[in-house]
Amino acid sequence: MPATRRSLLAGLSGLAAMPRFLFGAAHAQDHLLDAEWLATAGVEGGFAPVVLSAGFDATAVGHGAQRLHWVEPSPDGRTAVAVARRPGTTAVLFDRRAGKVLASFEPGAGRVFSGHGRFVEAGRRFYAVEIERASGQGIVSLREVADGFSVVAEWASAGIGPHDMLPGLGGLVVANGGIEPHTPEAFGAEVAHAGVAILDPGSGQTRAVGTLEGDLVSLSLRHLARAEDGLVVVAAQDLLNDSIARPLVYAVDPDGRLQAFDAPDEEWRGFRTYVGSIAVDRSGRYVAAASPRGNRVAIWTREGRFLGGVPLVDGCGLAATHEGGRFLATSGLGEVILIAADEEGVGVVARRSGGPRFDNHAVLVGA
Amino acid sequence: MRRSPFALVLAFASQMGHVAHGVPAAAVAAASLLTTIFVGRANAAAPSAPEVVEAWLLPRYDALVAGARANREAWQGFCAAPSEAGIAVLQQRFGAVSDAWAAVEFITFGPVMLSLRPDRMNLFPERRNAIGRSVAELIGDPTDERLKPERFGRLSAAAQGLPALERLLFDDGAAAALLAGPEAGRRCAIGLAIATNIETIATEIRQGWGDRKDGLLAQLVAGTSDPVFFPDPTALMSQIVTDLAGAYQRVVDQRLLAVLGKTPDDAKPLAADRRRSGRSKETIVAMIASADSLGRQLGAALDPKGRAALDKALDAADAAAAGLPDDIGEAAQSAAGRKALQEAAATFKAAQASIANPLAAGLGVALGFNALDGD
Repeated sequence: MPATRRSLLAGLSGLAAMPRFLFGAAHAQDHLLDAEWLATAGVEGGFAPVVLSAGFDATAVGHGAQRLHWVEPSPDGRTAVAVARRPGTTAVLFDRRAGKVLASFEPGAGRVFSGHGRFVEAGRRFYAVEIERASGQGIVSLREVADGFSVVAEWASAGIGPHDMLPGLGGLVVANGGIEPHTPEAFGAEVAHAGVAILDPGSGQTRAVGTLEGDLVSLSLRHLARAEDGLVVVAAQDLLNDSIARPLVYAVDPDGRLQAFDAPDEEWRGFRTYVGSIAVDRSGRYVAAASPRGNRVAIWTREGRFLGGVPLVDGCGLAATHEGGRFLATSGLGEVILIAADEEGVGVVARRSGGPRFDNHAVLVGA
Repeated sequence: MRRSPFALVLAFASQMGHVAHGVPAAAVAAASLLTTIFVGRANAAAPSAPEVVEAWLLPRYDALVAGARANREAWQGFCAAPSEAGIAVLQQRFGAVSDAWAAVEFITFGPVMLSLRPDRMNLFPERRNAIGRSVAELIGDPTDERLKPERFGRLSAAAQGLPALERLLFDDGAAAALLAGPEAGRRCAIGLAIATNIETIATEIRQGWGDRKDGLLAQLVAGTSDPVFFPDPTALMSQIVTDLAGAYQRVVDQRLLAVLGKTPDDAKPLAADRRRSGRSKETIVAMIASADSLGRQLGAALDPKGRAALDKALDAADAAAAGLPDDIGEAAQSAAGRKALQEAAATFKAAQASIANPLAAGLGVALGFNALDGD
């Protein structure tokens, strides 16, 4: 169902477009925000998009009842969209400099948002990932930003339980997670039925689907990241907790084939079956993955060579910085760290506590 | 150390008493009445995170270490002189260690977060019969090399902890196979290796915490950060409250909903935690009782209204745990049993909600959440 003005207004009524409120003495309200990174977070009494300054000051934008997940900066240099995660049904358009909520929109009837979406065509259009409540089938909706995010086209995601998606590999890459681990539905399930689908961006036709075989079919492929030169990586969560070390990070080939990253078994086990986010640095040379269950962020070279990791309790959000070999990481306990990586290893070079409860993702603005 | 308003009022009253010599009795009585009113209305100060660790957590780790030591000693004694009475002792000791672990299983901060200690202590939920396969494979191994303590802790987590020990003690025919037969000696050696390993893990966790003068607790008391455990010592209260909320979620999601399934036909009685030892209810009772006691300690700092709301929710959780059917798996297969489990789950969810509000809200601490619920 296309988003209509009515549904937009309905969405807005559920979100109090309050003036932004500050965490710490970050910015005066009459100044534009220094938006270096964007994230979402739990804030007092609800959830909100969050603007992070270069100095890690966090400013919440608005205030809503639904838990927001990914936030996608628009190439317009001004706005961004934060998307609710299951069972949420709200996506929030906000002005990341003025710190104001501008509008919100909803998925089709009987559906929820997966928590992810992406701008394309220089910000004119927006892809949202939606899930049928009843069947779990995935839909990618292409929306016209200037027309209130009305739906231009809808395609099957070529799988169940889609979560993340991004333009890449000459098409649209969708991580169909299949059965989501750590839910009651997943109990007893040993095959996730996950796959990475590559869709034609014009027609929505499925060009390729990459799946895992053998002992790896228990992996739910859920999060994606890309480098500017085309590298696409996907991160997994394991349905099984059987003490078997399974690789949880893969490179995605243009034909959909998945190539496992390398790491010692102890490192894979240390993620405790769960990678919650993945990011590529600005240089495209390094890949980071975070596990809030394992309290750990690990880093590889783009070729999949393991470099090392750092502890971060309940850490999940990951983003590039404007400098190569650096990652921002955020935690559910309000911590922000800056991680540096080179061919010799990995370390924490800056740290800031006292922020809001960051949700699972962060993103560099203008990356 | 911060002093609670309660303590300050008492100190104030004490000083008034000294000054009151020689003043009219009515004035003293009035002051006494005033003090009573103050005390009656005062809320205790929120305990600091190090105080919670010292007063609530460490005694539970001490109990775990003591239980694990008694369990290992029982295995040593049994292996030297197997007997039916010895089996009963082993089973009793297993229950004590199992409950002691359930009381702290939901704590994810501190030394427990290293070296896969939670998984090695209690790999749960078991998948693909990982524990059964690991134990069977160890029984079939004719050498003792992997049972040496320095090797055993590096084996699959499935072989190392309480669920593997439960198999050796409670699987069909397991007790008899420990007493006599071609595998008896081997099974005993494996049991002793597991018991030793459990004691080692428990001891490592407890020793890592140390005391007020040494170890992590001393660091916390001094307010110094630790790059691994507490990069921000002030965030510890958030971790404590987050883990407390997670305790109820673990019970509901893993111990009840996973067994219930969506319909009676979907019920999974074999997924009930500790079903082999018949402790599926006791494990929940132990975890809920432990969580409730932590909640009450933290809740002492709330205003009377918040404290009453919290106490009501936690009392209900205690009562719901006590009223659970003895066999969770069996209950999941009958209409009456399912109703009882669903009602208990709803009560535990309400207790979890009370941890967010009024507890976390009243204490002014944030609940972390990334590790709890996926995506």
